[in-house]
Amino acid sequence: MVEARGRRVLVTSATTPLGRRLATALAGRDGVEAVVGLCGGGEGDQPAVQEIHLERLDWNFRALTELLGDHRIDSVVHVGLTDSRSGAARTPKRANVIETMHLAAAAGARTSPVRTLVAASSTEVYPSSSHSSLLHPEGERLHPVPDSFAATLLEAERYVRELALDSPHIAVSLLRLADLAGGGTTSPLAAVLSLPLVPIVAGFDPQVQFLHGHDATEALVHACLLRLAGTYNVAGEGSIGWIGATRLARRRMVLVPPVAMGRLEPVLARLRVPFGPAAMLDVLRYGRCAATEAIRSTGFEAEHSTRDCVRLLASTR
Amino acid sequence: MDPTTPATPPTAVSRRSPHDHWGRSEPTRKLVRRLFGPAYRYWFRAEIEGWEHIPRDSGALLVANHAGAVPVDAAILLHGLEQLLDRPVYALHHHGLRATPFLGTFLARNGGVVAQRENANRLLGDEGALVVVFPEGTKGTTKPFTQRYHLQRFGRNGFVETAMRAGVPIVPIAVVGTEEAMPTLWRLPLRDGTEGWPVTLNVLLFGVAGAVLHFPTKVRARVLEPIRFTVPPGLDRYPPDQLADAGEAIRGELQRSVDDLLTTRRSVWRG
Repeated sequence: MVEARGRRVLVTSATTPLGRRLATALAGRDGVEAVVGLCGGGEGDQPAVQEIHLERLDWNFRALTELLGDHRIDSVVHVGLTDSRSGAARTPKRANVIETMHLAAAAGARTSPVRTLVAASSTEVYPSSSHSSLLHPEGERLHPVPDSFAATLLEAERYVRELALDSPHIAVSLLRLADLAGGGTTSPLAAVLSLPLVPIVAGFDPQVQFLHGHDATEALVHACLLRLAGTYNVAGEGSIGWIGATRLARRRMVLVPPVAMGRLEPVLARLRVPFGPAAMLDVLRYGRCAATEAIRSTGFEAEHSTRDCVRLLASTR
Repeated sequence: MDPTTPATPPTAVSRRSPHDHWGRSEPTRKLVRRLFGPAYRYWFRAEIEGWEHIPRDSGALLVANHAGAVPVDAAILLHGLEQLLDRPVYALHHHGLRATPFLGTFLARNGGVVAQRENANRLLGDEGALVVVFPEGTKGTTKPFTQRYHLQRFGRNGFVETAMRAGVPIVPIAVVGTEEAMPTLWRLPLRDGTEGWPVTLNVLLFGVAGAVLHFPTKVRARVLEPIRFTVPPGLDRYPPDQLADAGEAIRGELQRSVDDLLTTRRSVWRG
């Protein structure tokens, strides 16, 4: 659809690796008139890219509403849900839920100029257990453990979904990104695969997926410019077994007996894996893969497959 | 784009990966078929009749009766059908097996998939695979020897809904011979009074080895005509009365075929 004027986009968490890539990508894109990067009060100074105007403010409804109006923002790309995974120092609950709530409220306000909202969530909403599906579709009914990271993510997603219901004039899309690797981004799973000794739970070889930072950026740009609506999983093509991934990443393996997994906890805590390593231990046994037919049917194809992402981890020693 | 990364065509499946996204590995299947071959041919002298009823290129849910404390019927059916049809056959199993170290991975490498709504729908509906399921579940494998060949209740008839939703036919398979291969004589009661570990004749005779050593009974399987449904596929729910009706009808058909195979059987060992 050809817009009469260029799009004016707000990118949240613009100083995080993903946010910065996203703002830069949008700024260079045809049909985008202006990009405003948003970063919270606690983040450090980063040189702004030319076309990007960086605002620093504390997240609250009034400030956001003013911001949206002042800059005539018609599109919002919210990267704040996955913010904690890129290492920003925030309490996860606040980062994921409250900010999203305020942002959705501001975007859906009566005077808001916003007509497109894209929120970057994570495939971490999906469960990893012996009875979870091997390839999660977007429509899967989710019942996460209360107070888990997945539950927090889902709560934040709910605000996004409610915005879509309350404001049918806004194209709202929710992109569940697989674990990030490469392109300056990382994720807890990639961090574990980058350890000098990668833990293998004895007797388990689950399937995992990765998404390259470049593809994550492009998917968000794609969703924004095409004004997608709905929930979409995004991941690199294919999946890989954990043992195969360890070999491909040229790491040495350390066998962990399935009964003494408590030993892994201090290691994973040092990696600052949010919300406890219990979820990570589940992924090491049961894996986590998401079905990507939906986003591909909109014309998006990731350039880097899961195996490509793992190969990249091998070269970063 | 990183110039050192090769561009991957969107539909390419990684050829170097030894197993598919379900965990099934064709090289592992080849090896296991080679190792299990003598058991299939000489120990159980297994025969599968009516396999022409199974679709050659599209999906189907293969429904069989379940027996034996350590059920060898799954292994026999997968082995025989893969050889006869020259295509992969998957089998749905309880999620507790996936949680077991080594066993879970072994089952996955051999075509085992956790019985779960999304898994079944994707395997059958999207991928058009052949999938074996035992609706009796653990009720089939834990029943005492005195109740052999009495098909137990089919639970919630989830298998009927699975086939309807995926838009594939149900092909019933009656299996005879597996009950006597590892008969459960009685079950040791657990501390809370419920029934626990089975005590089989094999364990009584062979000790610990009896846990995996089956008697050389003759195994015969009869594949029945496919049952195709006229309901639209892809629905979230199907009428419970249709599910119950179809479930009971299939159970009845299987029971009749099992009884018929039993009456024509002259000997447990020779068939």
